Amino acid sequence: MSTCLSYFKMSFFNHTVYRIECLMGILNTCLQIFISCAIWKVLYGGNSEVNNISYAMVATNLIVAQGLSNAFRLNDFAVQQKLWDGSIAIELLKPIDLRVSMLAWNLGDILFSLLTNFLPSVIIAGIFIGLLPPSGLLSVFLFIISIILSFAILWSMSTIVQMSAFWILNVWSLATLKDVLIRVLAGASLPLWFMPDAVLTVIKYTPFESVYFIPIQIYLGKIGVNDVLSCYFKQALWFIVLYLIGIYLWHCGKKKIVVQGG
Amino acid sequence: MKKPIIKLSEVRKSFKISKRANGLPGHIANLFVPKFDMKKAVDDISFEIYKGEAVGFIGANGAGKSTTIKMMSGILYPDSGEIQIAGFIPYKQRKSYVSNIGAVFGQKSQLTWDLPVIDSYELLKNIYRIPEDAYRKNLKMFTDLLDLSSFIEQPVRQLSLGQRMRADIAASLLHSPGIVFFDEPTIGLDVVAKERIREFVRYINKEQKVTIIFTTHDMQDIEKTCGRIIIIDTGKKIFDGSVGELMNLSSEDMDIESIVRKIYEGDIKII
Repeated sequence: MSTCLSYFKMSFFNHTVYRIECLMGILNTCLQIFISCAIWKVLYGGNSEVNNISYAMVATNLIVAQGLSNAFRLNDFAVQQKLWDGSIAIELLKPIDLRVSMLAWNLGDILFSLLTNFLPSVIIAGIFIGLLPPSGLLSVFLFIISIILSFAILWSMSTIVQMSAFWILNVWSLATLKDVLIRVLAGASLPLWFMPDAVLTVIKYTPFESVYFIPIQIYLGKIGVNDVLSCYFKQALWFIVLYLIGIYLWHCGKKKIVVQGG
Repeated sequence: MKKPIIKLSEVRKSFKISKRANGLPGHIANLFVPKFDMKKAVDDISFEIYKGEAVGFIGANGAGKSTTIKMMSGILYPDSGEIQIAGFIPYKQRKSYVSNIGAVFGQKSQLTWDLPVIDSYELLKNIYRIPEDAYRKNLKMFTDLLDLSSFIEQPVRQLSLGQRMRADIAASLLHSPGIVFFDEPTIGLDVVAKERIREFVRYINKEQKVTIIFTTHDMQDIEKTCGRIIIIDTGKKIFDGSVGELMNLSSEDMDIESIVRKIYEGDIKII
């Protein structure tokens, strides 16, 4: 545990070195949010509601989902980089599971960007665009549990992409495919309320709905307290499935390790 | 009869090397039907090393030294053969095994690029669960022996190569391992820096009874630190003996460097 904590601390402090990057990150997230909100404002064309969905709800969806997706950005190329420059050798010399140290490192990254990117961006966007308040104190609490689960899902998706590096030396195409699917199907740029029913049915059977749409629905109080449990269950189930695939890939992959250079 | 601390028997490892025809047609054909050659990096190597020995492990570039070291340190899986070190099978029991060894790879750093050296040491202290007093004792000893005090608070990316190497060596020894692999620790260093590293290696071998495996291309490293030499060539062991025995291979009065060169060039045959 203390080992993980120190990895966590190292990764957190590693970011504090770069001040400009931190400021640019906030600017980047805010711009992204402002642009997509502007597009939706035009689409609404002055109406305050379309299909019973208010513009304020859409804006809230966009602010929270895009803020989170910037904060939860994982480095899909971490394993690939370690394989390319051979530093995988150094990692394997440590008496710790590679995935555990990587998770601890990722959590340090995430906490840092939640504090220095997500929070300021959401506050800025909330002031200038307008963010609906959560439907109650309880739903804030339920929302937080739900985004922890969605981080777990994103992390295991990223692990699968990363571990593929043992077979395909460049995971860029897989990482891009994954990101596009998340962007479209998880509701970060197109709130799922507006998806045609047929598409929505398909999405319900994929892990993507669990990533951002479920937490946002909980935040807005669109999912009743009684149904929250089944949503958590769905999220947890997807996490377990994806996690097991990741473990399997790691166990096959580590036998294929090749150390490049020297 | 003492039991060896390191034992390799008939270890083999090959790598896939992608093979492609030249020119555009060849590259496009390769996209659909990739062709590979299997290159034998390590081909039937066996040896035993006893506790407290300092062994120089040498061979031309690409002879398989680093691959052997990486199999011994539990990073790579051998294709066949057996490796037993300090009672462990490195690649199978990696997590419990690696606390018993230290490894310095001259071409790679284990320190965190952006943070001060001392922060990386603190991380290692937690990873290996080094007790506070042992950590302080080792840190003080290495700071004195390797003269780290002037740059221990600096970020790693601002260190010179010599400083970084010294910092890396200390990093791999903080947990007091009984066996240490040095894979080209003097690569790219100046004469003074090399000498300082040799002295340090000699010290931990003689005074601390640490078993040392040392790969290098600089024969002075070997002369000054190792009592025994293993030479490998194209994945096979071709010489295993003391420095004196190596010198006796040539009737003429030559230094180690010339003898080793003659062996690489095939002028001295060893059966």
